[in-house]
Amino acid sequence: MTDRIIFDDVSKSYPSAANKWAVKDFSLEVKKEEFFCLVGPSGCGKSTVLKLIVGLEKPTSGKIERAEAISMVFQSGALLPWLTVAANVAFGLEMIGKDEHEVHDLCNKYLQMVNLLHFSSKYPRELSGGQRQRVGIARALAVEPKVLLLDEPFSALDPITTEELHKDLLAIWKETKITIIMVSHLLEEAVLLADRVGVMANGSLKGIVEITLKRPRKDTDADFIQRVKKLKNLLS
Amino acid sequence: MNVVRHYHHSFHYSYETSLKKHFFVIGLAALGIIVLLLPALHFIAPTRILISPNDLSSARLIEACFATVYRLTIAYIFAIVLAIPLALVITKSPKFERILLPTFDIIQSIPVLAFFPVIVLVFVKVNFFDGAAIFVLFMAMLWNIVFSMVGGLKTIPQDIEAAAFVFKSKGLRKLAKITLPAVFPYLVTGSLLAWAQGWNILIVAEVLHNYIPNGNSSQDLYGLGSLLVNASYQGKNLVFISSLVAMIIIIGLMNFFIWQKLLHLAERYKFD
Repeated sequence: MTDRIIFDDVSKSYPSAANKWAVKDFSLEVKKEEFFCLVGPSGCGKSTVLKLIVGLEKPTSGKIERAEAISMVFQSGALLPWLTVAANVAFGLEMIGKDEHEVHDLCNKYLQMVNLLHFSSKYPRELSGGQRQRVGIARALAVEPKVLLLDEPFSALDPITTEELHKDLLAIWKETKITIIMVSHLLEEAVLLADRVGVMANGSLKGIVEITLKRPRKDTDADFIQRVKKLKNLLS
Repeated sequence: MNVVRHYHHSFHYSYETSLKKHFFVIGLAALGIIVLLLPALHFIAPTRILISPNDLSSARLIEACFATVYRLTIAYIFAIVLAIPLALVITKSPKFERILLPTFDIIQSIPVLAFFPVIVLVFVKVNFFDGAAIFVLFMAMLWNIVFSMVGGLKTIPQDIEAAAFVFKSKGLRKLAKITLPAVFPYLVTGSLLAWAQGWNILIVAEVLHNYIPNGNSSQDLYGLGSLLVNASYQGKNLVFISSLVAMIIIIGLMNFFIWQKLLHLAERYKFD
């Protein structure tokens, strides 16, 4: 089983949808430990790509090779409101049959990583949007995946919280050395975080831009702005 | 392990009526009934035929309360046990939904009392009188729970379904960990409506003799519903008022000690 994600000429159609092809002739290889970002306008098929990776959708044609341990962070957080923060993080672990001791240790480890250990007995609705998203990240990391998918995780957050979470995500990526595939509609966010950025439009991959800038990146740097322009050109 | 299993007990998200307020409302309702209905009943009573002259003792009234609550509870247990799988089957696939939802909609629109005479005759034949009342109460309760739960199942956010898939939650574990908690608020409101429907039907459900050829009130099931009907019929005003007050007290207490608590608890299970 590979640690990479490989799309080989994958298409996905929904016969009932107005635009039948959600993803068309999509080929991509995301390398081990890479931070890859997929950008594009709403409805361009980027979330469908994540669903195909995780197995929520089956490709109509083409082949997908994927790592076995994949986890995901959702746009809404997708936390269970009746469970405490700790129980939400434990959810995935319990489903894969970890024993109580392991569940406890892993929960504490990843809640510590997202700086929420002291919130473990709170309920999701008692947290801010940013804190909820951190819980979602801790839950996804707790199952110790090889690949982490993020579906526009910061789109509902304010700019200051988003900036904090960008830093935290990069620190987590560095520490855990997992492959990250993130979907975003913000070109600046993609250039700030990713090693490579794929641009999608109308279900197809228009091109990939390599971001070789050193981290931490600044959105005021000329090189940064130039990369954003390059992505914009691919989109237009 | 406490950190994972710990639930805290403070609720901030719903309104809870105080016990004092509850008793005030119950008292007011009881007083209203006595003041308004007693003279009216006194006026009507002489025209009624007296069938059973036995006076009602407080012990018999309590017995009637227990008998009625027992029937309603049994009917409710059957209703909820059947409603949950029915609702799950309906929402299992769009195909099932297209067939089953209109079918159940038609069935539930047939008044339960329309087939009560047949039900009574069947149960009377096997000498299981309680069965007739429980069955009709069950039929009256079932659909409220089914349709509330179907509504609840449809409100589970797509992201939650996707998270269940990603974290390998399926089958009975998904049912216990996600589906049932997610529809809990809808089960509570459905149950509340079901019980309200049960209390409505009770007056008919316990008075079986109307549906038995040449029947008399001795064939009725002893309970608050039959007491209300027969006391009214015989002009036993005190029995009628006592039964009505007892029914209001039970409904009020159930509201305070069960439904209010459950509605309050249900707030925790709602998605934002």
